[in-house]
Formats: sequence, structure tokens, C-alpha cells
Amino acid sequence: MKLIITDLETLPCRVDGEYKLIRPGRPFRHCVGCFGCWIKTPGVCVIHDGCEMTGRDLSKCSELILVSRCVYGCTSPFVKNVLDRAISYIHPYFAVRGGEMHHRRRYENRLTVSAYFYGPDITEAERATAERIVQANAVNYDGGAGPVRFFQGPEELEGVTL
Amino acid sequence: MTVLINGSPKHSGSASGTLLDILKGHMRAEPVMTCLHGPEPGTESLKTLAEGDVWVFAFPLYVDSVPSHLLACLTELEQLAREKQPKVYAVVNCGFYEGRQNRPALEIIENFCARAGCRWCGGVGAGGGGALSTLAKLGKGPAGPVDAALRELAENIGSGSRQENRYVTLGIPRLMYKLAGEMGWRKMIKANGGRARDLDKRIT
Ligand SMILES: Cc1cc2nc3c(=O)[nH]c(=O)nc-3n(C[C@H](O)[C@H](O)[C@H](O)COP(=O)(O)O)c2cc1C
Repeated sequence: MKLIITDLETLPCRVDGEYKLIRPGRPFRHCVGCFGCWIKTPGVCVIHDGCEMTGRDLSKCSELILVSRCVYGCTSPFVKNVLDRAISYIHPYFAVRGGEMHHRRRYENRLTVSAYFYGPDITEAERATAERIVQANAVNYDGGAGPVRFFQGPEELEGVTL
Repeated sequence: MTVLINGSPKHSGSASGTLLDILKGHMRAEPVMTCLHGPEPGTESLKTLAEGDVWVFAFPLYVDSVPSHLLACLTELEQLAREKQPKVYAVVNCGFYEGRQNRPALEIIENFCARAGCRWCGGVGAGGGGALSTLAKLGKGPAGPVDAALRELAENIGSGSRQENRYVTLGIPRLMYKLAGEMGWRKMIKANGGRARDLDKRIT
């Protein structure tokens, strides 16, 4: 399954196969850094506003696809919030990978992270940052990195199949 | 006037707060403190930021970048930064051992400055955030490298100079940090009425 997280109300791209879509609707509260999803209700965020199960959703997918406005080289606050709220996907214990500290995995699925960024004038520096972040996310999820692509606006995504 | 901005979502006990306290201790001119704990900058912080000619953001690394609430605040602050042209520094801390993992977060602040047309002056990326507040209380020993980086940052803020990003970690071995951290998680889950093996729980 594909998990698609987007800040667009309607996804302009076509999607091949089964997928779950997380998009703006009911407002999600921001992560407060309490680690309750590791030490109070492991695997589930303690804020019950519809965003609490994203860690589990990640465990059911083979592809995580971000479709987002590029904000200073990051995803938009909406997409970033969903990712922040989903750290229960990984285990609090540490593992060393590629000479760096990361987290151990909680689940067995291996996912690929890809990103489709849009924005009218994304700079070279922002692209470099975005690519670096997707790569780092892939390592942190103990998964792989898929394509990172940039578009002038959401309309350009119409021709894309995810 | 220099404004130190605590961008952790935690209202108390944050590593970002500890880092700012250490930084403040090294500064000659008294800075003003403010915080961005939620996705919108409050009127108080907006007022303080508008008066500042130097902004120092301190925040945790979340999913290899800036926490979403702070990212939302940055989009709100872009216009103010464009008008006021502050010099901007940042101190990012992360839960992993290596300070270098904070690099993308420092880049985001740099990219924010480029958008706002204000001056990015560099920052510090500190690893070992989970033990920072505890070790800082013990004096300079294990927190020494972080302390030194913040001293250098304070000097550069004082003289208005730009610096290269500095990546530092605690003066304890990585294995020790890992074991202490994992013991910490077991203690915390037990304090919440769970068992150590609940840390491994899988939701179906
Ligand atoms: C949602 C979330 C995501 C995090 N992502 C990372 C990460 O990608 N890399 C890392 O090293 N630490 C990560 N951390 C750990 C924090 O950076 C660390 O706990 C930090 O010391 C918190 O700082 P604060 O007390 O100033 O908020 C994450 C923590 C949370 C709550």
C-alpha cells in the first residue's frame, strides 16, 4: 500500500494501486514533544484528533509519498506535522547505521520515501535541503529513498502518476 | 537588542531552554527571551521580535528538520524579517548523538533568511539532546564541547559576525549515551504504569 500525505485538498496526480491519503480537513494539533507515543500508549499518539494512528499507517505501507509545497526546503507545516505526529512508527531504542545513531525499527515493513514538491520559485539551496531531508528520513525509517521531484505548482502534478 | 527564541514545543524542561541559558551566560549584553511553543507567534513574541536586531532560534530537530509548529511560525515571521532585517543565528539540538544530523535544520533557517532577504549568520548543531539538561547541571565536564560552541556563538553574536555552522556533541562515548537513553525509556514507561516490553508494542 502507498501512504500519501499532502497539503492539497484534492490530489492532482493519478495513483496506481491501493493507497491511503492524508490531506487537510479536520485540523491536527502539533506534536508537543511528550514522547507519549513511545512511553504512554506505545504506537499511538496521545493526542486523539484523527492523526494519532499515522505511525501504524506507516507500518502498513511500502511507499510513503509526500506531495507538498516546498517551504524553505522542507515540506509544508501540514505535511511536516503529520510526520512529526508519526514517530511511533519507529522504536525509541537506538541503532547505529552507516556510522550514525538512528532508531531501531518497531515494525518489519520496509518503506521507500519519495517527495513531490511544488512552488513557483524553489531555489537551488531549497532543493538541496529537500533532497537531504528525504534521504535522512529514509535512513531514519530504515527504508529507502525514492524520487524527489520539483514542480512549479500543483497544476504541473496533473501529469504525474504516483 | 538580541532576542533568544525558544522554539521547542515544551513549555518547560527543554534542551533548547538549557542551551539558551548557557548561551545567555556567555553573552556580554543582556538578551531578551521569548518563545514560540505553538504554531502561531503570540503578540508578545511578535512585539519582542520586532524590537530585536538579532534573532537566535533554539529548537529541537524533528524528523530531520524543523518542528512543524516552528515551521508555521517561520512562514508568519518572514514578512517581519523582511522589514526588520535582523541578523539570524540558530542552535539546533537533536536526540541522536551526532551534532551533524542537525545540518538540514540549520539549512532551513538559512533558506528562510534567503527568502526574507535578511542575514543568516550561522549556528550550532548539538547532538545528545536527551542528556543535555542533566549533564549541563554537572558543570562543564561532559557538556564541555557544547559549552565551548555556545561561547564561540556568544562572541560572534556580540561582535555581529557570521560563523560557520559548528557541529558538536557531548563529551561522553556514544555507547554510554545509547545505554543511558535506553534505560531512560524503560524507566519512563514503567513510571507510566507500563512494562519495559511494552516499548516494543506493534499496533495492528
Ligand atoms: C516528533 C519528534 C521527532 C524527532 N525527530 C528527531 C530526529 O529526526 N533526529 C534526532 O536526532 N532527534 C529527533 N527527535 C528528538 C529531539 O530532537 C530531542 O528529544 C531534543 O533533545 C528535544 O529538544 P527540546 O527539549 O529542546 O524540545 C525527535 C523528537 C520528536 C518529539
